[in-house]
Amino acid sequence: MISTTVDLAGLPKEAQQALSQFPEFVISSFNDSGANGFVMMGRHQVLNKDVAIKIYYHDKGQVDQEPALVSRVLHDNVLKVYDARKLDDTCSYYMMPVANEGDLAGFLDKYFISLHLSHKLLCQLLSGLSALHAPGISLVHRDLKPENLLIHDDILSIADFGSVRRLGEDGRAPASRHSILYRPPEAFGDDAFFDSSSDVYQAGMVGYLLFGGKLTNDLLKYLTVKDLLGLAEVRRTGGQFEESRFVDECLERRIKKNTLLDWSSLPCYVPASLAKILKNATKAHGQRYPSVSEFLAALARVKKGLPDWIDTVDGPMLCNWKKLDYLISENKGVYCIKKGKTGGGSLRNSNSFLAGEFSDVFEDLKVKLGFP
Amino acid sequence: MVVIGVLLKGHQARIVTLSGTRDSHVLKSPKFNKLELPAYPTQDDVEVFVQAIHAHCVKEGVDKIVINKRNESGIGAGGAGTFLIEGVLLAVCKAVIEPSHLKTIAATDKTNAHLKGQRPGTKDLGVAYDLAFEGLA
Repeated sequence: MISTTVDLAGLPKEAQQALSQFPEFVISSFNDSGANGFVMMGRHQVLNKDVAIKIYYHDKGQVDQEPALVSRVLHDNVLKVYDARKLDDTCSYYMMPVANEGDLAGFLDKYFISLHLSHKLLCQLLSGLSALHAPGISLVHRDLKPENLLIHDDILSIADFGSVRRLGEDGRAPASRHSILYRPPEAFGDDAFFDSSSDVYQAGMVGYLLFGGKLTNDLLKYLTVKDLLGLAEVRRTGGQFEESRFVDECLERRIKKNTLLDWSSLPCYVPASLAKILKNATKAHGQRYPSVSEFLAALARVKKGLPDWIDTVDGPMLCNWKKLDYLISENKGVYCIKKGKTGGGSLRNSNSFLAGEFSDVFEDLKVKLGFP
Repeated sequence: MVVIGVLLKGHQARIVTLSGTRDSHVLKSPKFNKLELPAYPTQDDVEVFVQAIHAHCVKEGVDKIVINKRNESGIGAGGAGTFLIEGVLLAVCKAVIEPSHLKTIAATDKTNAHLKGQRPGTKDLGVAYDLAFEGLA
């Protein structure tokens, strides 16, 4: 086995064991950032394809759950499984196609994403979810977040099925305790549960991030001044467990009050109609879209006339609006509009628009061009 | 039996989903009632439209889709919008698609109007309901 970038001897023993079972696989990189296992990327020399092997840990008896669930769903936006094997009673692995852009979290960190691409990725997520929720399959993912969504050539795939559960006859599954930030309000408390609209909530949060909303993983940032005073007291009297529980309780209160997401962090160019759809998706249980199809229908309606804004290093840019591009550019604190033909390369200052404060310039552009 | 009635009008598709029989049926997903394609749709526009209708069909387990039959010529001939949406539905929907003429609905109403207790009040959705009713057994 040839590997130019990975120290094979330094790999965990489970990875070495998997590699010995798969002599056709040539490893090129190794990723151990996941919470419950690790991933090896490389090439399958017989299939002649780039593939990834995910090694994961599980309880005894649950060995086949993850790949078995994935392999039942045939959809372009749900990760496919090529092969699955067992290493021992508590560790297994499966082979899947590799995503050239990695997960959505990395993709969002790496690139500026246009409104059209964000809209497309969110619709793909919902389309994949509809396959999971379909009668007869009736699965809920329960852990939708950017880290569990993969991007390959601008196509999104739902991945990481470690927390997938089948819905019971009452249409509910036990609540997942994964990723507190993305947990919907109904997933807290003694009678916590998860249903298909809980996935809609998490998809709405992913949509919020896709369209430029801010959500930090630093949980302490969500604490109010009063919470921080309480935390100081907990730190004085208790240990790490008490501290962690206190922070979780503060977050739970925020999630239940629906004040976790800061809607003002969405870029000003995101149309109000789109923001309203995302807000509707992340409301309390019973008030949000009950199914992905209704969420998708709302997104389909808003697609008509959606301006294709994108953040650039020079400022926000409106692409291909009636075959012209517009850039809101800053020079010594004064904003102005530059415009040019789409695909024409250079943009020039336009005197048809106001110059001054960002909000004034944006409003002037909005009124004169007539976008939502 | 689950049937979707789709009234194609302009660039819009008004949708009503019924489950049951002509004698006893219920409206399903009443909020999933409108989809549209712009006059000059891009591939992305069509993809979103397809994803939405497909997700709805999968969720409701749709057996049949009834659409209004286009007039091919003369006054009231179907425009490009209805033609486009009809083409998309024919290409992507796995459920059986049946066209139904508005005159067929009028004929049904003569004998079965009393069974249409769930008919929505708005005009277009009412016709979409009539179309779905035609598909029910």
